[in-house]
Amino acid sequence: MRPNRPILVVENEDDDVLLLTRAFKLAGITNPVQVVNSGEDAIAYLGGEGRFADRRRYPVPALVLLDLKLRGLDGADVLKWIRRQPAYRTLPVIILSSSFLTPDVAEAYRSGANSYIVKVADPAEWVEIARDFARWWLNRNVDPP
Amino acid sequence: MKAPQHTRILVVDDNDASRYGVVRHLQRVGYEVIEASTGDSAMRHIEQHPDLIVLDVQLPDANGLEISRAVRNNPITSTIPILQISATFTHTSDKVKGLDAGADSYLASPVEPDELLANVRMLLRLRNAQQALAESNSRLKSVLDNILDVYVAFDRRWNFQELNPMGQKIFGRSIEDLRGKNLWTEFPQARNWKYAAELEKAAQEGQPVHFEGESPLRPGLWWEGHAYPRADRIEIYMRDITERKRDEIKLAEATQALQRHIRELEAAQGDLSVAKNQLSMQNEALEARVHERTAKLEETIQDLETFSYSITHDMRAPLRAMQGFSKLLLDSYADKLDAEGADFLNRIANAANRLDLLIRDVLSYSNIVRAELKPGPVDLDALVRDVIRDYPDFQPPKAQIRILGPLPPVMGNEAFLTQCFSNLIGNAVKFVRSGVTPEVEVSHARHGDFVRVSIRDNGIGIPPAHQDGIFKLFHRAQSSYPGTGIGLAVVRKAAERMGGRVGLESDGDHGSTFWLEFRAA
Repeated sequence: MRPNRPILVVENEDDDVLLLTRAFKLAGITNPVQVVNSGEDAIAYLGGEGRFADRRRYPVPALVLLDLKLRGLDGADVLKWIRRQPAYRTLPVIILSSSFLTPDVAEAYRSGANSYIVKVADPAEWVEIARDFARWWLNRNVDPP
Repeated sequence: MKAPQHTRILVVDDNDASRYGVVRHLQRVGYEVIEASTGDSAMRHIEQHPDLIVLDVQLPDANGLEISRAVRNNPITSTIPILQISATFTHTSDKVKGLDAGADSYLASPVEPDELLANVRMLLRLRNAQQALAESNSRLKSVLDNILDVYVAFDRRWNFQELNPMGQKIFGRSIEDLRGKNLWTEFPQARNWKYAAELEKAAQEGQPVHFEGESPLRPGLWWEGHAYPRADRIEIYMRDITERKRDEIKLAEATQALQRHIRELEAAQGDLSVAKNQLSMQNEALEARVHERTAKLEETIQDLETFSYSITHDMRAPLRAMQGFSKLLLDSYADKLDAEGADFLNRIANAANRLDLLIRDVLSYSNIVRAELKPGPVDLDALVRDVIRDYPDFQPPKAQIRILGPLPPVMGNEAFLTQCFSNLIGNAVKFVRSGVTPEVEVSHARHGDFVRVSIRDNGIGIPPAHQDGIFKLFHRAQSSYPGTGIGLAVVRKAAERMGGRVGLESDGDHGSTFWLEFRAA
């Protein structure tokens, strides 16, 4: 993935956003990161609605990091919506969730997730995850055309 | 008819020659003959009751006609047939006199033997018939005298003719007293009798009547009777049916009482039926309420489960923050912290860790309770080997685990089974005395349709006192070892939901053997 391709993070916990963005920085990830705090905002962003219509400020992402437990519309619903949009059928979506429970994992994959990562508490481990993420998804992985 | 040989005939004639002739005729056909030549000796012989008398009219000491009369007038001898013979008195008027005096037949002497014998036979026949009739009458009288029924006969004008002893007892007077007297005059109370008119009518029309009722003569007694009008009399037979009537009345009363009881019973049954209906309606209402409450309860449980699940889940984010930022502080600001400050931060981080572990266990348990099961055949051998391979703590040198396999396939759910075995093997490895390398042996046995997998460890064992409650939620037998106390509750719940069981054997000192039982696939 080219370093300027945007990454959309859908996460409602500020603390987790902090840890994630710190980890990205320490892992050397320079892609622009957009954060939305709710499922509704995620759909509005991807659909270019409201304030997100300005694509210069809010570019279409090349990859989405999606939390499952959001207020209001939850991550699984957002994922299902994403996969229904012709433009986003192949958009890579990585689930970032605190749930380790099988039903949640199964549901996420069934709804079209490309990958599933369980959130950690240790900031150092966050950095490790960020490094792995960069190595695999940003460097190795071939983007869908 | 008696045979001639047993028939005795008295021949009375003073004329030897004619007497001889008659005697010979009679003897020749077998009759026994007694002779008499005078009236006097005749009378004496007559006292011996001959069966027939052949009597000459003219006798030296008496007139044959008078002998006839004497025979007739004596009730004892009045039925002896008399055949009168006369040589001299042969006119019709003589015959008439003779017959009137009592002779039954009159012949002129000398008699033709055939005519004589024919007359004798005829008279004997008559006599036998008379005797038979008399015997019959006497039997009849005897019957009437002895039966318990009343027999009373009236003439067409209702004058008493006959009344048997029972009847005399009932009427209270003798037949001699009543004979010829009128029923209605002698017993005026009989006029009020309801059948009186019917009897009168019956008598006039000549139809038999059957009646039954209370006696007008003796109230309290009940009689049943038949009246038979005949040519010249009305015969009535009556029977005392007082007892039968009493029995009938008793029966009627008993029947009424029974019917009353039956009605009461039916009413009670009706009530019972109504009560049953009410009960069944109440039951239905009750069941409906139970269903409603159960549905509400299930809804509430669902809500609680969903609530506890989401709340527990929501707790993890703040915990992550506590763990993460205290760690960041320790890492990034180590130079600005003294030992005590560092210690405080460590404690915060540890506390957050412990809480997170607890929440994870609760979430696991909740998941086991709520998740959809979809059981199917599972390759248990592969699953257990995977579990051992996935956990570094289960590998040598940290632990020695032996599988006496291959473990047979069982019916269950892979995720649940993974949880069960990782929990139990994890416990086996964790609860050892310090310095001891955990040794675990996994074996299997077949129990009917079920497969039992046993996990034996060389750990600290579980005291018998704790064994009962060990599978309960939050039970902790050993507080010196880390753990939330949920693990075994998760194992039991998961096993039960898969239709299996979990159990344990331990003497409290030499390790434990936990076992899991599932249906063979």
